[in-house]
Amino acid sequence: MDKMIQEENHAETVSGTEERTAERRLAEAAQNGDQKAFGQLIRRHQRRLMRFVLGLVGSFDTAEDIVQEAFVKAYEALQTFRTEYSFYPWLSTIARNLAYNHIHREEKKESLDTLQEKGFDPQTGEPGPLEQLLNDEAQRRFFAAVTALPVQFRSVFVLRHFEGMDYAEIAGYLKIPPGTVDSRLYRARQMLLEELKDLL
Amino acid sequence: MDHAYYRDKVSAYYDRQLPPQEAEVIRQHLEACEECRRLLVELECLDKLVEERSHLADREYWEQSARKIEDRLGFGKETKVVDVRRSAWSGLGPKLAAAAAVLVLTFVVIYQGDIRRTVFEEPAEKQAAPVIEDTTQAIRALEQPSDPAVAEEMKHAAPKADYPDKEAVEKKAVLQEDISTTVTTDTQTPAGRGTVAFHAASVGKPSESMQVDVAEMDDALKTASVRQEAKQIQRPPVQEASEAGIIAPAESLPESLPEDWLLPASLDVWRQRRDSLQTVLAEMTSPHAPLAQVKARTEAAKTNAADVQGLLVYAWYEVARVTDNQSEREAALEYLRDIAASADSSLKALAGSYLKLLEPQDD
Repeated sequence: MDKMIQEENHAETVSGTEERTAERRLAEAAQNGDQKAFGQLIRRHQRRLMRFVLGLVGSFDTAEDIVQEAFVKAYEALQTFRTEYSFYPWLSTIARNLAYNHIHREEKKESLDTLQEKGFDPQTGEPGPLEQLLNDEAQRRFFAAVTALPVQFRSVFVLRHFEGMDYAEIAGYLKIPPGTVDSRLYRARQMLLEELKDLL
Repeated sequence: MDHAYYRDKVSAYYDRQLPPQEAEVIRQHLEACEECRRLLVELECLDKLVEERSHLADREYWEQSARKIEDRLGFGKETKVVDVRRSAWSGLGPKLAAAAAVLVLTFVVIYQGDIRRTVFEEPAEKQAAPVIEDTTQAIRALEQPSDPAVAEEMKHAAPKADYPDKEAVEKKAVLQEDISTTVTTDTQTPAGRGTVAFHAASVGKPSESMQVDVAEMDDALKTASVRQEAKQIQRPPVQEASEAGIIAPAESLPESLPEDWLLPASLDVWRQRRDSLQTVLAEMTSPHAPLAQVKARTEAAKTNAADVQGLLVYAWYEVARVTDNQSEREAALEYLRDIAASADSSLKALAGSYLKLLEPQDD
């Protein structure tokens, strides 16, 4: 059993290394002006980035705009990216800052309590293109519940479940104590369990 | 211990984020507590739900999304905008070496005598004004000669040498047959046909598209070639001019000098330029000048008081050089001496170099 786990870990390590090498080559090519290489980076990371940003901002249309903007800004700043590091953390930091800017602007308009009551970021009318593409009602309800979380709980939940970060990473990322990560994540989960119990 | 403590730790236990000893405590509690075991199961189900429901849209949407981003970045578009509308009078240093090389090549081609030039598709009259125009336009706008005779002379002395605009830079230039003929037979300047082209313009020929292979240079290179040629222009006799003094070498010309100032001009033209610049400088530096007026002139000219003063110093020099009126010459020298004595370092040096030209010291 231990040997199998070791082999699995090794396989993951090897594939992870190959993946990193491939991505590094793409990033270097993009820095040298290869537009197709940057296009590959977009296709590799946009889905994960969208999930992350959507979890933060609570609006499909806003998340789409922020993801687009994040890639544009990443391209403009590409020469500053050090290719020996992973591309996604750098990209997601750009997206996170854009998302936080949006959240802070929204918070200035309404209190956190009001946001909590409304749940979804107020949409003006018809659901946007991404929302329309969500496969079924359960999926829409899932995202509705996530985006209904208060932003400080939502951030921690998204980073844990969508980004796979551990508590120390989340604490460093959000600049909060690890104990706070624990308690906020717990609260987020409690709220979601309450909201989605019939889907579990 | 309070049950709430254990319940609150189940989440971290599920994530394997507890220190080993604490994890062991929770594990033992779970064996005995059904409520906490149920919570653990729910957390596992929530995790699966996230996994199932968070994949968002299908492949087609993501491909469209990627293309939208690529479109926004302008990927796949061939157009490359080249900005040629930059001041040719700035940042010349590193380009002069390249300019010299291109200039040599250009003169070699010219001397070969085997030149084919094409006219511009648009008539010269419709071409845009010279690209090196930020300060030039400002000066021209200010030069409103009151004397029609001076205006007429300025028109010929400073021909509309239509240096190519952005499109024209990409086209080859061809001299028209009649102008090239005139140029060939009329001139014997030692510098060759490169300067003859300008000479032809200065004797009153309408300025057609006099673009030589200069058309292929960018603004900075053209400027350098003009400076080089200016050194060698043989000024035609000017009615009211004396031949006192020598033409200022290219190195001691102000940075913001409009290119048509390098061409021969009469004393009246220089007086007019000097007076206009003095007016502009007074407006720019006067604390009482209407702010809007100063701002409008400054923004239109995209220049500053230092540039204007540099040109003024040069205009005074030209007045001193060309005039045969001793009082006027003395007034010009006095102005230059004041500048050389009191101005900032760049103008001090400029004025000093002009004084040396006007009053050469015996060795």
